[in-house]
Amino acid sequence: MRLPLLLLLTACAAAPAAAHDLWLEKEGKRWTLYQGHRHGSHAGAETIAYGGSFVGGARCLDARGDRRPLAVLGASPWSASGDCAALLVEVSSGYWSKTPWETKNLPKSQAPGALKSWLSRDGVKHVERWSPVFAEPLDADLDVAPTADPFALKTGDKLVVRVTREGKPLAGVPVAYRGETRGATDLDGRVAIRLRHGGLQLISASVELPLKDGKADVEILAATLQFELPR
Amino acid sequence: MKARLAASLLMLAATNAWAHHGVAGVGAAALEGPGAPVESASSAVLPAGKTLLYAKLDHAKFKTYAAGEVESDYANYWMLGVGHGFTPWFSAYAFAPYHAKIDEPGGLDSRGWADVSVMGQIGFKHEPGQGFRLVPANESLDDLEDWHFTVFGGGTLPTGNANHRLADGSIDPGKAHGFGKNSWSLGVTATKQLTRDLTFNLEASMIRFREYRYDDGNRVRFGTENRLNAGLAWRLHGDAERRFRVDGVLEAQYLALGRDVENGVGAEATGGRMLYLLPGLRFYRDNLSFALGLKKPAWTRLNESGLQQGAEGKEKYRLILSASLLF
Repeated sequence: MRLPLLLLLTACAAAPAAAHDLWLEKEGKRWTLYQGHRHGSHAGAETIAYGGSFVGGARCLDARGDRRPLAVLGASPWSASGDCAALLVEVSSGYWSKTPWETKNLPKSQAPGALKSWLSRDGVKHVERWSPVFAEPLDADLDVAPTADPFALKTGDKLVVRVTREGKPLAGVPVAYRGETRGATDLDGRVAIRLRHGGLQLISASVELPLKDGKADVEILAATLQFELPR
Repeated sequence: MKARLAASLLMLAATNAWAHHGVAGVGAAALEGPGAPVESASSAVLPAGKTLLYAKLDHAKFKTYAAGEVESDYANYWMLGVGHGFTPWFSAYAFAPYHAKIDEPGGLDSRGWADVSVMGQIGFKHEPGQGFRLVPANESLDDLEDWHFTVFGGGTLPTGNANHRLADGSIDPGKAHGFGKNSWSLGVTATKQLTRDLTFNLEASMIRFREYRYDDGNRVRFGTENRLNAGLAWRLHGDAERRFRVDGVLEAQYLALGRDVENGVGAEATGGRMLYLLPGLRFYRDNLSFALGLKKPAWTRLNESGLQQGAEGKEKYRLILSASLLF
């Protein structure tokens, strides 16, 4: 672990997709997706606006893991209504290219002199009520799942999460708590994260994958597990 | 008293050397994880499959008392070592010491390679709600905040020349290059990262010697050594981007030395109890760690103290320098 930590710190710094936090806030039965730095350790605007095409899909799950209807109420910020035991939201900010002068929200074919380019895709999973089903991967892409009931924990306890992609455990993936990298997953995709604060919990992971669509060098997949503890 | 010096300093170096100075601090965990003492053993084990190279200098400058007599001036205790993590919870070390014991002008100096030492270390931790377990292969920074412990044991092999003769042809066990027979050591450590920047460390250890008959017919068994070391490491500076960290360290080291036994009789002016204070710094850069500290006796209760010179508790200071590389 001691050496991989070095790598994950580097990896985290190199993952632009993880630059902003994503989180869902609930008012009554209305869910709203925010982007920004309200809950993270990094400096920056509390919330950052995003475009109407940012959210690519959302799923509302009941305690059995079955999908339930979700009424989308707005696009920017995205909001929806539904009685969900868990909620999955998929977003993408599209293609990005880093040139010697700036970072553009464009594929590399439209950014002359691009030094590095990537496609950014994120997933947010909010667990509202615990069900053993939620210990399994819910997202076909990158998934961060609690291995036990997080609501049985209190501030200061550790939660073991499991990071998977397409249902298979991923080793060596950096995992952050509220934007601060705390460890990397083991061969079984697991890592223990201490829940340091009450309120909203954000546990995120990201991986960089090769991309051969001609528009970017790599795809950066990020996933955030979210739930709330008493303050 | 010279015998006491040889025995205890040799093992002091060996014990502390094998006690992996800097191991806890080597590697990336050091950038955000628990700190490590300058000299005491900590509870970090080597990662499985990783190897540690280690070098240390312990320069002891002694107080002198008799203007007209030749007394011990200083000693340099060098140590080269290698360690390997065989599992996430078991590491093994081998160390080769080189000693230079220098008297005031006109005295009998001694230089040479001393007894090789080997050590084994088992690491375990306490997880709230789950109890004790061996150190797992993968720990997050949050896992590293738990209490960690080690049990270690080992000893010296009689590879050095215990019958080294000085320039006048005599044998002084205190200036010999070995103990003649194996010595044994056993210890435990406990480490807790109290806050992000502050780490507490505790070491309790002991060394036991066997009697050896020298070529001149004298028999010596060096007195037992018991240690209790406590330390705090405080992160002064950290730069993850440059993979650089600096810790300030303060150690309190209690040492109880038994009386040497020469030809079956307790030797006068050997042994005693003392407390050292050791402020120092530890630097981390990538997989390198470098430590320095200045150690001074703060309290002593030595046997026949007025007759002792050139022994533990009678130093002006000890300068500790160490470097380690993990790969």
